[in-house]
Amino acid sequence: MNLMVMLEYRADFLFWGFVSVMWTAFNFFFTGIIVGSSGFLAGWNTDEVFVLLSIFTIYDAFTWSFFYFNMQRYMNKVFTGELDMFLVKPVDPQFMLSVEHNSYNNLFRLFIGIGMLIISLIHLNKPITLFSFLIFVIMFVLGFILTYSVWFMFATISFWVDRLDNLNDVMPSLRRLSQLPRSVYSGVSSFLFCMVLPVVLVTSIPAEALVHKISPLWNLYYTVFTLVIFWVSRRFFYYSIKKYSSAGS
Amino acid sequence: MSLISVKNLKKYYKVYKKEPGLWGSIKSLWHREYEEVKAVDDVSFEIEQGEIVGFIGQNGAGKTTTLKVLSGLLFPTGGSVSVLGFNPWERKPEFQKQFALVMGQKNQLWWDLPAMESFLLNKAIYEVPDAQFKKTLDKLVTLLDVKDVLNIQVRKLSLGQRMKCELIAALLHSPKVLFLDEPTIGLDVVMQKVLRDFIRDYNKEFGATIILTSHYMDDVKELCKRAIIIDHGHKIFDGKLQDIIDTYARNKIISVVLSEKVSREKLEKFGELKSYEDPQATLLVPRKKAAEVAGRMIAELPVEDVNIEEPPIEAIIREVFQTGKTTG
Amino acid sequence: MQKYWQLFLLSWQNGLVYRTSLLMWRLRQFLSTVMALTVWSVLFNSSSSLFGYDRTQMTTYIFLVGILQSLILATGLNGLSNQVYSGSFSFDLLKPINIYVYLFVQDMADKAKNVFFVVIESIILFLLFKPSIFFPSIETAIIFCIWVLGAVLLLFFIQLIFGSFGFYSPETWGPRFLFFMFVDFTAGKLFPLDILPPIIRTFVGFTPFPYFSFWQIQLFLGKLSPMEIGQHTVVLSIWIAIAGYVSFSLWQKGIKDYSAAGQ
Repeated sequence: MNLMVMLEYRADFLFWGFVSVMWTAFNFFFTGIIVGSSGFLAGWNTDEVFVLLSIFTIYDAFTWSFFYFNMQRYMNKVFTGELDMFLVKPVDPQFMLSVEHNSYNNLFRLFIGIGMLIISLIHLNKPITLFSFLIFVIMFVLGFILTYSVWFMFATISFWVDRLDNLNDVMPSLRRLSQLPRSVYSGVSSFLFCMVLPVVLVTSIPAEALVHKISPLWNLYYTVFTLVIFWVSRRFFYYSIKKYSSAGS
Repeated sequence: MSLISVKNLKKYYKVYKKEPGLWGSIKSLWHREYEEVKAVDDVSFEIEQGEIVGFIGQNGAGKTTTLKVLSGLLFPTGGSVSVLGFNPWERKPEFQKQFALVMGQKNQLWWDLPAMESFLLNKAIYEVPDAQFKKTLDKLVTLLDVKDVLNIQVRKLSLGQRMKCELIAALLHSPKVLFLDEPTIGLDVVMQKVLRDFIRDYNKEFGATIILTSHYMDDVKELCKRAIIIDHGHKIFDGKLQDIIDTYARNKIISVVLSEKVSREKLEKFGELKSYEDPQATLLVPRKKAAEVAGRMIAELPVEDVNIEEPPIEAIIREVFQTGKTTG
Repeated sequence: MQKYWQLFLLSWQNGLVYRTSLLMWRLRQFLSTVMALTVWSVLFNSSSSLFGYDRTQMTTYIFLVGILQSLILATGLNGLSNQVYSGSFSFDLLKPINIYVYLFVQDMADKAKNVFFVVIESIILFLLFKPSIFFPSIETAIIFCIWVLGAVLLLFFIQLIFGSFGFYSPETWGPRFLFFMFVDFTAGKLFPLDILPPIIRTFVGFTPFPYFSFWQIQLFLGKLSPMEIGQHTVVLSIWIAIAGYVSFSLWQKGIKDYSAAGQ
C-alpha cells in the first residue's frame, strides 16, 4: 500500500516536473529569441536578462512550493473555524500557519533556475565581488519577505469577508510581471509595479546586484518598503485575530 | 397494456479496475482489466397507472440502475422496457415531457443561483405555458411551504429546503410518471413526513404513477401498497408490503431507558437481549407480542422511556433473502 | 428556441457568481497583454521591423491575441468530464432538449461574458498605450469573423472529446492540461509563430492549433494571399469536420456505455 502511494506520488511528481521543465525551457527559449533579435532589452543584453529570468525561476519555484498551499490552507482554516486550534498552541500562530504544508513539485524548476543562473553568469563574464554577492543574497531574501507579507495580507482579508473566494490568486496573478527588468516599465505601470506594489523589484533588484547595475537608492527604497510591509502584515494579522476571537464562536 | 412494463431486463456493467491517480489513468489507456457486474439480472414487472410502488433493496442491489433504465439514461443489456408506450432509451421529447426523475443524493438545481432561476429554465425547457406554470408553481410552493427561500442561492439552503425545491423543479411540467430515488435521504423525521405527505397528495391529486426507492421503511410503508424487493439484481419479492412485513419481519425492536440498574437475566426474560449498556437496553421480541411485552416491561421494570420500532429494512431484506427466493 | 435563450441567460448569470475569481482571471489576462505591449514597444524603440512585423502590426497582433484568447480559447466546458463522470450530467440527458445545442449554448454564454470584459479591458489598454492599430478591409474582416467562428466550433468539438473521457475515467485534467499547454505554444498566443525556427514552424503548421489565433491574425494583418486564404478555409473546415465527427461518435458511444454505476 505504502509502495503504491509512493509510486503514485512519484508519477505525479514526474508529470509536474515535466510540465515545469517545459515551461521554463520555453521561457528561456522565447526570451532568448526576442531579446536576441535586437541584442538588448531596455539596456539589458541577453545574458543579463537570462540572469534575471533565472532568479525569477528560483523565486517562482520557491513561492509556489512554500506559499501557495500554506496560504490556501490558512484561508480555509479561517472559514472553517479550524484556526482556533492554532491560536491555543504556544507558538507564533503566524509562523505555524506559514510553514505547515509544503509542496515539492517545483523542485525541478529550482534546479534549472540555479543551473541557468550559474551558466548565464559565466557566459556574461562580469566578475562578482563578495560585496555584490552579499547584496544579491540580502535583496533576494527581502523578495521573499515582501512577497510573503503581501500575500499573507491578502489571505488575512478572509477574516473580513463572508465567503471563500480566490483572494489567494491575487499574488500569483502578478508574478508574471517579475519576468522583465524594471527598466522595461514606464509611466503608470512603472509607478504601480515598482513603487506602489513593487512586484517587479523582487527580481530586478537582486539581478542588478549581479550584473553591475546596482542603484543604491532603489535598494534602499526596496529594503524600507519590505520591512514596513512586513510590520504592517503582522499588525493586520493580530488586529484581525482580535476581531475573530471577540466575535465568539 | 400497463403504463410501465419491464420484461426480462438485464443490465451488466463492465467495470475496469484502475489504479487511482493520474498515473493509473494514463496506464489504463492501454491496459485495462475488466470485471462484469450484473446490476440487474432478468427482472420483470408491470405497473399500472396511478400506482405507488416501492423498490426495496440494499445498496448496490440494482434499484437505481432500474430507475435509470426506465428513465432512458442507461441502455439495457437485454430485455425490453416500455414506459407510457415509449422506449425510454430513444429519449423522445414527447416521452421526456411526461416523466421526471428526482434523486435525493443528486442536485439538479443550479447550485450558485436561486432555485427560482432553475424553475424558469425548466419552464422553458419543458415548454410549460405561463398560466399553467404560475398555477402549478403556486400550488407546489404553498404545499411545501418554501415561498421564502425561492430567491436564495441554492447552495445556502438547508438539505430539506433544497429537496423541496428539487421536487418542485421536477414537477413543474406535471409529469405523469415520477421516479423518486431516495427522496428523503439525510432529512430529519419531520421533514421526511412532510415530503411523504406531499408525495401521497401528489399521487392522489394528479393520478401520477410513482416509483420510489428508499432506505427508510417508513417511506415505503406509508406510501406504497406494493413493494418490489431486489437483491443482487434479482427480483425476489413483488406484492403487498404488509405481506412482507407479516411474513418476514417476525420481530420488533423494543428499546428502553432504565432509571436504575437491572440485571441482564431480568431483561432477558422479556425477549432476546441485543444490547445492554446502562441505562439503555435493546430487545428483540416477536412482533405480535410487542405491545404486550412493552406493557409488562413498564409495569415490572423501572422504565423511564420505551420505544417500539420496526427492524431496519436491511434486517427484513436479509431475512427475506435468507428464507429463499420468493416470487410474488 | 426560447429554452436555449433561457439557458443562455442562466449560464451568463452563473458565470458572474464568483466575482473575485473572475476578476483575478481577467487581471491575469490583462497583465499578460500589458507585458506583451510593454516588451514589444521597448524593442521597437531600437528597430522598426522585427520578425516581419512593424510596430503597428505587432501592437495589433497583441490586441487581437487578447481578444481571440477570450473568444476562442476560454471555454465554459472545462468541468464537463467531471459532470459526466459524477453523473450530475444525467439530468441534462433526461430533458427534452438537444444535448449538443445545450452544451454549445453554455459555452457561448461563457464566451459572451468574456467578450464583455475584453471590450472594457481593450478600452483601458487603448487609453494607457494609445497604440496605432491596423484595420483591414471589410471583406477581410468578414472572413476573419468566419474563421473565428470556425475556431470556436473546432474548440467546442475538442472540448466535447475531452468531456467524453468522463464516461470512462474520473481524471481527465491531465491530458486536457497538456493539450492547452501545447496550444499556448502553438496557437500564436504567447508570440507570433514567425519567431520559431523554420522546422518547428512547418511542424506546427500541420496541426490545427494555429487556427486558434495565429492564422486569423495573419489574415487580419493582410499577410495572406487570396490563394492562402482559400487554402486555410479548406483546411480549417476539414479540421472542424474531423473533430465534429470524432466528438459525436465518442458521445454516442459514451452515452450508450454510460454506467455511472450507483452514482
